[in-house]
Amino acid sequence: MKKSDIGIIAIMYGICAFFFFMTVELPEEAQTYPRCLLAGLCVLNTLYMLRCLLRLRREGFSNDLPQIFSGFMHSQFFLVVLCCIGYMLLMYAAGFYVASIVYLTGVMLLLHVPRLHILLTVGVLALLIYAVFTLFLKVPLPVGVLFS
Amino acid sequence: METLTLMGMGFVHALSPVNLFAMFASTAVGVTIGCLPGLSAAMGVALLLPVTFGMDPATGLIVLGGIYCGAIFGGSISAILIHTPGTPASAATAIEGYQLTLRGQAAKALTTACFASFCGGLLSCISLYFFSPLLAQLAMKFKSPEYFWLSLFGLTIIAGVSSKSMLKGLMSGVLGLLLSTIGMDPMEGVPRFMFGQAALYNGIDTTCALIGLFSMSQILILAEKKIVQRPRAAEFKDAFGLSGKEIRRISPTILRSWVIGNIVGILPGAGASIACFMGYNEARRFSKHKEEFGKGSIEGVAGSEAANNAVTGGSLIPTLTLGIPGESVTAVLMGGLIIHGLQPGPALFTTYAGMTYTFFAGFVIVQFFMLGIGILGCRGFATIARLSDAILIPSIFLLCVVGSYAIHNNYTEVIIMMIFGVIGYLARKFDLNAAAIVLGLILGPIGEKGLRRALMLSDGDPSILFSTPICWALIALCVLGVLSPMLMGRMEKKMAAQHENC
Repeated sequence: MKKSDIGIIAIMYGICAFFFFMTVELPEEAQTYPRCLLAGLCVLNTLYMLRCLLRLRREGFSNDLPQIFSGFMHSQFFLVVLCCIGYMLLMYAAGFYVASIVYLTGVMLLLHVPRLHILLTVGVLALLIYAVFTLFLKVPLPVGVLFS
Repeated sequence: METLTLMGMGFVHALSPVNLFAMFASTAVGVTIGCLPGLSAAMGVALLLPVTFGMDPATGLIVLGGIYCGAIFGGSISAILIHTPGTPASAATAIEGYQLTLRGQAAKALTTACFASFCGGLLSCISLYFFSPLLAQLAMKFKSPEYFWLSLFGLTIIAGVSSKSMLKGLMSGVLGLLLSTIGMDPMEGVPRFMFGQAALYNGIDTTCALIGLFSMSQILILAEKKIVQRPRAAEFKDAFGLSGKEIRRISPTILRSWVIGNIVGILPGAGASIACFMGYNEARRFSKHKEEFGKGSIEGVAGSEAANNAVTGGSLIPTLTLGIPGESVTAVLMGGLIIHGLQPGPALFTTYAGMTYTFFAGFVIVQFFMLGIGILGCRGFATIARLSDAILIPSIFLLCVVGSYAIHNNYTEVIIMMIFGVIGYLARKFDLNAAAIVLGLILGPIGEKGLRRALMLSDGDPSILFSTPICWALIALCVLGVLSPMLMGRMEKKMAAQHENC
């Protein structure tokens, strides 16, 4: 049995419990189908747990998380994630194009991309998105609360 | 006669300037995505799905087909020039292709890959034209119970084959089915699991889920790894082109790989990555120049490339006729089909026959674009293949955001896309199956309606689900789908053993 299996089993049971709790609010006729699916997921998860337990008896317990996350660059990963969240917030405030330019430049600077490449990437992407989404698809991209 | 007229009309429509431009652009984009190691065909198709919203459905599908074919071929460029397959479908090409590059014959390897991909793709269109209407006729006999079993079969096959653990694959599929229940109940008309969000009234948008699961998750995968400079592509000065003798030499290999690729493509659950190794192994087995294998053989390159591109046409057959995508790319393509308001099945060959045959014709012409773009642009693509992940990460995220925002012009879709991105990332990390989750999302409503309608017709008697021979045949296929991982595992072990022996 691997350490990651515990997480998978717990999350799956958690999802089952959460959705089961939600089905209580539904009328009786609408409960049947989701509950059938939940029962199916529960059975499969229990079978998986039993298989893991059999493996535990046969092969013992192993921590596979270092293998799964081998070479994981914590600071880089969370920096990128934070920038993505920041980009979403900035887009709401300052609009799509301003936020995109700031986001692209910021992330690429943080990831040590040469400045010329940053300039080219920002220019190409801005043009591409303007041509495809604004001119062709006529999508009203967010202008932001500051400029609206 | 009617079919021939439809085929002819398909070509007339496909050859319109707009469609020709769409084919050129999508194939070029597909090759670019394919040659970038780390980016997959499924990711490319998912990412560019929103771009097709403003297009005519036939043009939109041609674009998706162009990206699919281009990406499968594009993987061979980086496989040959930098010994890093752009997509798993070109893993076998790297073996012989890079050896040819080391011998100073990179242009020959690229021409062979291009020519074999072109032939494999083109020949696969024959089976697409021939088998699709036949299978669609069979699907016309399907009623609610059959559709329920069909969706279950689709799920068992993809869940069973595409993951290391069958149970994890099935769990992913059921999770997808569960997520598909979010939104309005189709029979009772009551809101289910909507968390007070009106945007979820019609359920989770498939495009958001696709972009999140395949594209956003890829960003997270790239972001966690150390960013390294990719090796410079090998310089090559030899001339492009193949002599008549070389074409005659690789022709039997291409034909053999076409048959292999087509069968693998039609069989749900297999895919281009398996087909390329099968094509390569058979090329080696039948070759009169076995001594060249491992040192740079054009037959090896042709065997692998013809097989992986022959999968493209073959894999569309069950997707379009039965709604059973065999792998992640076709699952995404099917999502695209549904987004354009088209339901896979017999209607595509009756009500929407004009559109379907235009797409088929476009699929044929895309192969010619692939040949031209591949040969003329491979030096450029070799440079693109070195594009750093540091540029790809923010660029792909930007396209994910704008793509999901464009669906309904609101932020909810972007948030859903990000949630599915995290689900996709965790699924990949813990060996769950993203393709099965997508398939559950797509097939969920079909299966639910089929089941509930059937039960309503029979006053709740479940025996209706076992009432016809087709139901039993589909049940048997479901069982086969569950057992298929064992068969596929044996096949892969056998091929790996053969490869080691040589």
